Amino acid sequence: MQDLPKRFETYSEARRNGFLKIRDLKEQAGKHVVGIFCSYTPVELITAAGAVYVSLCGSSEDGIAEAEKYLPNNYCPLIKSSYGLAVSDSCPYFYFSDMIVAETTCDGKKKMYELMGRLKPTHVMALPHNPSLESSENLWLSEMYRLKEALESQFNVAITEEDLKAAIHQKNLERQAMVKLYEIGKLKPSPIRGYELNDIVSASSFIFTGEERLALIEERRQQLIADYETNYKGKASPPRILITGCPVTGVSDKVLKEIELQGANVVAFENCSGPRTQSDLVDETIDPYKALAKRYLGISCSVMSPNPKRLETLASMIEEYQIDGVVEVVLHCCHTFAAESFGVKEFVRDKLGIPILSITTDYSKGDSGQIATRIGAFIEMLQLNLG
Amino acid sequence: MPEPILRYYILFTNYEQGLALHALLDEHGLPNRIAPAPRCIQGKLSCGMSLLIEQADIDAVRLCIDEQKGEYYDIVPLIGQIQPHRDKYC
Amino acid sequence: MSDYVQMWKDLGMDLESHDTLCQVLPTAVGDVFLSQENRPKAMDFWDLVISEVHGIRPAELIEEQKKGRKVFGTFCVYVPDEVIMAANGIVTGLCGGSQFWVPGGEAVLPKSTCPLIKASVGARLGRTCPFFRIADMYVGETTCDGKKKAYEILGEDVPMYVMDVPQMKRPEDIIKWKQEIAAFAKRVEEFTGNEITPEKLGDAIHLANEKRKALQRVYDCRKSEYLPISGRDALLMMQISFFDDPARCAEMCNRLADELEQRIRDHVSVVPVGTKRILVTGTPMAVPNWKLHHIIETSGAAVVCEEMCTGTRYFENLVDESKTTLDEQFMALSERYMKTNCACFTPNTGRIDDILRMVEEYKVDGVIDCSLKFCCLYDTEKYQVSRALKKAGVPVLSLETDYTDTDAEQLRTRIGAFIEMLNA
Repeated sequence: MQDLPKRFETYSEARRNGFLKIRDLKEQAGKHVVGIFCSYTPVELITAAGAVYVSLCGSSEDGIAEAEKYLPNNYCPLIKSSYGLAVSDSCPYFYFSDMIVAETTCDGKKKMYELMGRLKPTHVMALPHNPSLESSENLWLSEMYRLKEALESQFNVAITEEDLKAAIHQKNLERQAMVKLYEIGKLKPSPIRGYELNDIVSASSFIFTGEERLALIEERRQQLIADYETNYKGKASPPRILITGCPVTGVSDKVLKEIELQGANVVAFENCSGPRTQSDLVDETIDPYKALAKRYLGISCSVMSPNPKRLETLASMIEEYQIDGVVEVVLHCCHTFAAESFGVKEFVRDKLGIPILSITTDYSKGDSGQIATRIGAFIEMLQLNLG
Repeated sequence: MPEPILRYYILFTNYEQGLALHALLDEHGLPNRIAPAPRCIQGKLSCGMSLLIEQADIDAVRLCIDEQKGEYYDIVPLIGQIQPHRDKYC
Repeated sequence: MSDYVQMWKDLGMDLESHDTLCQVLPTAVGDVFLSQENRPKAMDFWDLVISEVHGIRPAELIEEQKKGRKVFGTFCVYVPDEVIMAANGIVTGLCGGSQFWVPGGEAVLPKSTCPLIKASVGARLGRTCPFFRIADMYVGETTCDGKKKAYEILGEDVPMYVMDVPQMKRPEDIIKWKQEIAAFAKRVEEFTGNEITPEKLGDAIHLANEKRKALQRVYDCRKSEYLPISGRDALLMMQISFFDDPARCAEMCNRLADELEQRIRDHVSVVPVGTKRILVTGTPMAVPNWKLHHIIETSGAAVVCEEMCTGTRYFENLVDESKTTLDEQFMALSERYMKTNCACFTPNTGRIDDILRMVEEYKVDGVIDCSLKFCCLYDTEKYQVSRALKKAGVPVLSLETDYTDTDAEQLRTRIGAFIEMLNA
């Protein structure tokens, strides 16, 4: 694999450099900043309001001890770390955020936002939990209008239909580019490591204009294709792994990096860092609010019940990406993904006949050794299968 | 530890029979309480009700049953059955 | 001999395992209920029901099924019984309250799921609860993460209908819930083959209101300085009300209330004057979960109110009976059910208002805020509940427990110290 060109930043670099960019955007360009936590947030409305958005999801142990003063211990590390950084005033992005836009996704986040609302203006969208119902579509549509009004009154702006359509168009382009980047993983052998792919996705949330994100993604994709043609094409592929479950940015070192250190290749993500949240576009031919509501309610996440789309997506991705083994990652105390684990294992292993390794972990380093051992044994088994 | 107390359980073949005797004893002013029959004395009977009689009342209860021809399955003495600080829940 | 064994066999229950469950119940009922003195005479009805808990009511339900009626099993106080009753259906609670069922649930659910959910699923999968075997349809709701996902597993071999509960309580959410109730009514009509007319729904609303009023009457008696009933007995009455026929439930509760009101007039109390009065708030206590109440009441205090689903949340607020069209009646139902304050909503400040009001109404000396392990919703609200109570000058003890016996000693120590502090 080639070295990354200079202008590509790793997640941690991007996060660090983003601090200065966002300060400049705020102080010099006078931009408003909206902190977000979830793929259900209709970011097009934020863009149309002339603001920039930034992900505030915690992905390290920082803040967890602080959060446990306010939240029960048996919360997932992502929520604890996010809240801990906010309440201890140690996340510059939270600091620079003028408002927070959040959703009633899982129990933990829903209740955490009640506390976060005491620190910053927090607009919580009421996300229904069964996307197939008419009453859910109605409610979620009214939530689009409510977010529009909240942004307008917070920033004293008017969101025009024209601005919104432009934002939708731009975000669709970005999504298409992102999906094409994911599809690099379909090449066999794949020229990109899953660790880097996840890094690019996470880092892109610290680039604050759509045009810039689009350009970077496209440039990297071209390089990877060239790299494939010269260095990978026709060669044997290591075992190909699909990651499913919770967001993995906070555990990427001990899971993604470890898998690839031990000789396998993570080629696909069936989680928030993957096409799950990107593949559907917002319909540009209908009313933009209806289009947004429809597109965002269609995202498959375990907070939804029933959530049949996840198994369908798993089946099609396993085929398309020629997957040899699945690694499921569940963060401690994430009830919805933990509850789906039983059905996912049954489906992948018994129905599809693909080996699956299920890892439950948090952001601490204590279990790294144990996880490495389990990953090693799993990959060894996959290599034996492949002969 | 308080001294374990001896109490009597009247067992029945069905709850209708039990309720009839419960009404009869009530009518005669004889203290009796509905209680689930302890499993250890229930034998082949289905999980069901019994009447719990304190030691002081048992003779009067027996007399009343004899006189009024009250129906029941068995009367069984049991010691130490009720212990409020045992902390055995289900 | 009323041969329930044959009935259980016909229901496809695991008799051997069920027998193990039956062994522990008489011991617990003896220790918790029969150890009390001076209980209201009217409690003999509930003593009978609990003695025959897997017998009398299941047999009644089966008889009704033979006549063509359908039984709907529910898990939550947000599911509107009225809709089911209007279609001549029968509602029965299904929540599991015993540790006996927990390992069965853990076989398919994460261990970090609350014991109520694990026990409910375990009761179903282990085939040791007749109510789960009898119910023709289960009705769930998207209240908390754990239940929502557990219904996906429960629904694998029984018709399962899940209502999508809104997460907030604004006007648009009340409309959403009304639409959900209307959609549910359609499903109930299809399933029972009975049309829901405004008259039938009106009758069902009236009957459910009568049941609520009767439960409220008993609770009103607990506001008296002469406490005519123990917390344990009131809790048992509440728990059984989820399973019983609503008309009989109302009748029995009214009979109990008659006796309690007479006791108050006669200055009869089940506890000595000056006994500290405790409000218990938090997660529900499904039958046979009596641990917390029993420990409180054998540590020298009395429970005078439960701000929980097996308590005030079940019966406070009536449905407006004046509506005459289905559309208006569905809205009236939605409005009533959305007044119930559960931690699954955000924000849920109404619960704090309720607690503060009940502290006044029931002349409460101290509050015990107790949640089941792994219920992060109620666990999170403890922070806000205790802050509000401290501000109001009301002592509060926050606890977490599950269905096991292993923490009983520790609970006794903490509750004992709390009551000692109240008495100091």
